[in-house]
Amino acid sequence: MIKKDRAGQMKIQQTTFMLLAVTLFFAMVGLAFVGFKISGLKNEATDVKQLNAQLLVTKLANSPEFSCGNSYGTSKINCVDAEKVMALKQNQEDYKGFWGVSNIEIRKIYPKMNGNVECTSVNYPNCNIIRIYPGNVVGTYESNFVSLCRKDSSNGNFYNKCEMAKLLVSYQNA
Amino acid sequence: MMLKKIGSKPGQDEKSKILSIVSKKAQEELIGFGIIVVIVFVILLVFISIYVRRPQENSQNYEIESFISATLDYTSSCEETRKGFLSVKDLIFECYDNETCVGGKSSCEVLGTTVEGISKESWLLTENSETKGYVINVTGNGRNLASLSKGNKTSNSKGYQESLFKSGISVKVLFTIYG
Repeated sequence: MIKKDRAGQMKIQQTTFMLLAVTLFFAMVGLAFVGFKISGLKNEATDVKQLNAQLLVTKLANSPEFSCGNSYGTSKINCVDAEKVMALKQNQEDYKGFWGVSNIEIRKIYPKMNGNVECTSVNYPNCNIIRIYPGNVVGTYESNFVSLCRKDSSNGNFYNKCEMAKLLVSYQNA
Repeated sequence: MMLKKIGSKPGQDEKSKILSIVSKKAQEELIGFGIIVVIVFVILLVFISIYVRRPQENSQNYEIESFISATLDYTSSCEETRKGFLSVKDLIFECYDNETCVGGKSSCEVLGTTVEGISKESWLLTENSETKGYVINVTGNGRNLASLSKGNKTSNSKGYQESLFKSGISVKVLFTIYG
């Protein structure tokens, strides 16, 4: 009777230790995994913001708020209407947080202008930077080439003038 | 009474028998536990390797496409009496027909300087920049209309070709960047 009891006790002890060891092992693995995930969470948040900026920068030029539509001859892709953007800049309060990025900037790159001149209703079109939201572009940014079109005149005749520009979408790192 | 029996010689034999059976079983279970540990470790390694090898998106692909489309829409300084100031797209066809702009400048000359100016300002070739060089080729029905090559041609390249058609003329604009 005692023999059987001892063997049974040993078995129970073994099972208990085994269960404890397995539970501890999986708990440690789980903890390591959670730790690994949490450490990567910040990077993931930045990646998501970057992806959003990348997607936005490719689509923004063709969105109704920016696109040229048929105002400059035939329908163009990656064409930004400078007049529309200037009007949008005047109503920036209505678009606060609309795109979920820190700033949107259109930088004219060709023909080249000396220095950086931010566009206002006073100096437009003799400027080369249009910022939708006030302040400088902070954090990291994604960019894309666009043609920045507006109406211009030469010898009293109006014509469509499209210049080379870069659309920059900036976001804050997490 | 029973304790005495176990303490005796035949009792000791029984005890050692039980202990050897128990230790054998414990060894087997330890091996089993070891196998589980190895399997879990392998699974974990597979997961980590998949996580680490996640492909990185390259942002330059859409930039090349948008660069070509924005360049073709650029309004050049070449004026034509009927059409006014020509876009690079129209300028390419004018160049194919060897037309001249108002003021007597060759359309091909304006095309060359415009494409060069745009590329120079768009793709800055510095030591720290991602782009090390670029090549632009504009052909009309196989005839070279404008070509430009700047910087170094490395083994890492990306390109995009835009095709345009107008009254029997097939224009191909090929742009390649080297990183």
